[in-house]
Amino acid sequence: MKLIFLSDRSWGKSAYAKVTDNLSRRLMPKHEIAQIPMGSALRGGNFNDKGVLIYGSGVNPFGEDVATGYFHEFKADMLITVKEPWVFRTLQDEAINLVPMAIIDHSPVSAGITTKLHTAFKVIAISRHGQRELKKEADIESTYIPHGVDTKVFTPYTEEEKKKCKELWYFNEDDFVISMITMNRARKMIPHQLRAIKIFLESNPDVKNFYLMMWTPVRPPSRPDETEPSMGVADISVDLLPEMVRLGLLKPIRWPDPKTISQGIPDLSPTPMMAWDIVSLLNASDGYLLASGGEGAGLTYLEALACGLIPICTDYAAAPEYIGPGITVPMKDYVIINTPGTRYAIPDEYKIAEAITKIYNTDRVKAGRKCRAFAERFSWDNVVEKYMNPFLEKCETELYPKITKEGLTSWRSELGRPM
Amino acid sequence: MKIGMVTPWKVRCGIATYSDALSKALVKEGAEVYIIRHTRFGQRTDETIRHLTSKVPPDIDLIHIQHEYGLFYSGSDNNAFNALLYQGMREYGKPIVTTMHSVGNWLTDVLIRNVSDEVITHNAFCKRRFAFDSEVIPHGCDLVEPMNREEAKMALGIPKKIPIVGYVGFISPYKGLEVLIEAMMKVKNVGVFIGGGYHTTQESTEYINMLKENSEKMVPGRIQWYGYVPEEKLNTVYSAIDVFVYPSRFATESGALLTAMGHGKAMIANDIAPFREKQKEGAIWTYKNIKNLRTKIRKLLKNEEERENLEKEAREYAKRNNWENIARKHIELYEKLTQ
Repeated sequence: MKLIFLSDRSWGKSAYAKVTDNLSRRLMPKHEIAQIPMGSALRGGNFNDKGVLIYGSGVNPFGEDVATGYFHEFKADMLITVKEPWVFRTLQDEAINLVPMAIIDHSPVSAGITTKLHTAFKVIAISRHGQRELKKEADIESTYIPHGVDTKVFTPYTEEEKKKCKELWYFNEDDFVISMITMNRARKMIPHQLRAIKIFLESNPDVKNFYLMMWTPVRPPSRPDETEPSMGVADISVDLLPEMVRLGLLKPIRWPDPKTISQGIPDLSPTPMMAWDIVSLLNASDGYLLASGGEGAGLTYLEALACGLIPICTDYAAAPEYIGPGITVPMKDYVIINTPGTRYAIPDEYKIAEAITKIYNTDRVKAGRKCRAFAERFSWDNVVEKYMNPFLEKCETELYPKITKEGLTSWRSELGRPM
Repeated sequence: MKIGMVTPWKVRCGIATYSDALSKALVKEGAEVYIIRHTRFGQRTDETIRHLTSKVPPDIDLIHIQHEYGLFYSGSDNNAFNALLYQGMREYGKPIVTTMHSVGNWLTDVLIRNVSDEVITHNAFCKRRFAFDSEVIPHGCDLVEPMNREEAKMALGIPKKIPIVGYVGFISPYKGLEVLIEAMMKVKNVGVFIGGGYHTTQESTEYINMLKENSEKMVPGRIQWYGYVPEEKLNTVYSAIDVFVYPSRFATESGALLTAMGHGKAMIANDIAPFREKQKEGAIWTYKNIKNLRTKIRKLLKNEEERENLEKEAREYAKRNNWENIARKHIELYEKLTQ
């Protein structure tokens, strides 16, 4: 098939960039792949990135001004969007085979999302939660294709290697480190998680060597227009420093400088354990915390699990189904903090503190093996083989049906080449 | 015989449903059908049409375009005849058959007639209105064995002894459902069942909301709005209805009406030309105004013999025009063009 992705630039560091990159690379042997990078990521002309045709970005932050044109130019069979559907204003009104990934991080699902899906050729639900919401609230059928993790990149290191990682990240060998990798957004409920850290430290005065390693910008951008058009809805980043000062958490919390954050670090550096990368950060950690207000999937949970870490998430939206043997903490309330008026969970800080205590006291090596085994089910190879390929085969038959006495097949696949 | 059929496919659209049924019937008659899938919804451009014409299977014997005015509007060619479509298809050097699902736009019709090797219309009214040479092949029917009526009602939560007057189909202003609702105001102790919705949304439209609101005032407590009826529920729904009303203000033909007839329903439809043809065959009744509709509903509900007779006639019509017969007529036409 000819598939065109409309997403964050595949060479970027965002979750959607990783999804697009991983899917593209794995689908390339059997399909022709193109990509339209959003957010003005490519202002120049087209180029070929190791077999993937990358189109220019257009002016619209979500590529809506160029998507239809490129869809036809590429003679694409489907345009797959990897972004919250509510960011689109016109795409759903175009006569193209639109296949949105329905990324639903709340409940009940917003009409801002469902109204963008009724004209889609197919809808991909990246979580069972999202699939249920679409069916329940808007009677929309969808195909479940979860996000995955590259289990060859994200691996648990040996005890010796872990020590090196701790050293690399300026921790002592016996420090108890919880990491958090996330964007700074109001819906991430980071202040609540900071309070949970405070509670954990107060209830465990004997734990002297605790650190929270936050891979997030702790301060908002200096100019509002620097806020990336990420969600298409108001979901602001907040200044976390004052709260950290007020809670007296400056010592046990570490975070990188804003420049390093904005440049990003690779998943795995060419010289592992010699330079900062996400894998070494996770391997320097003893647990992973992201008890946010709501997640549409859980890429960072999978990455943590694949490195043998026990993740903590809020029991809301899609996160629980992505953490497997990890720990879910209940929500104590919800809050409405974005323009579409969707509900986001407020996690119970005391339960987060309990969860961290549990990780502290558990046999982390044994638990880590379970975590890794769960993550392997979500390896991208498995996701593509088990979910994506059957989906594409079904689409092929629906796009190019040949009906004979023998049954329904695809006349195009019989040609053995895309058109 | 290998037929390349240009049509919307597997979407909520009458023409997609039509093509699905025709394709299956053609296959039973020995043909192979290659669907050239046209994107049903959304803003089309010239590129949409070029994209479509670039994806045609190479070894077909004939191209059959299922045409409706709204389907092929695109950028520069801002009329329902799409020159790009026919130019593109002509390049394959195969005979082109066009079925006109809408007729009466003179400019479009003449152009389509000129670039098609044969044009199919559904009935005498369409043939007349098309105004150029065309072959009449009726819209096909599926003959379905209905469920037990009382069991079907119970499956829908309707008391089995309550007579039901119903409609199933797309709901748009031109479908005239307010006529049915108003007629039912004075038909006491009878339930109203309405199944269906709008093409592109499962959520309600403003028009449907207005109808629902009014119906609650006009026939309070005895109307059921079922929403879109999934394929597997169709037989239950049709079987539960005692009298089917099709109040459409305009139609060239109606898949929904013919489906109801295929289920052997006693049908009262608006008095418009394509339905009058069926009335002449004794297969349905038509009505001229609300009062007339009300009288006929009462008559059918009161007189079981008369209703059963109309049901029998509907079934006979469906039998005469079953998809197998319709497919055979298509094959004859295709053979004429490909010899």
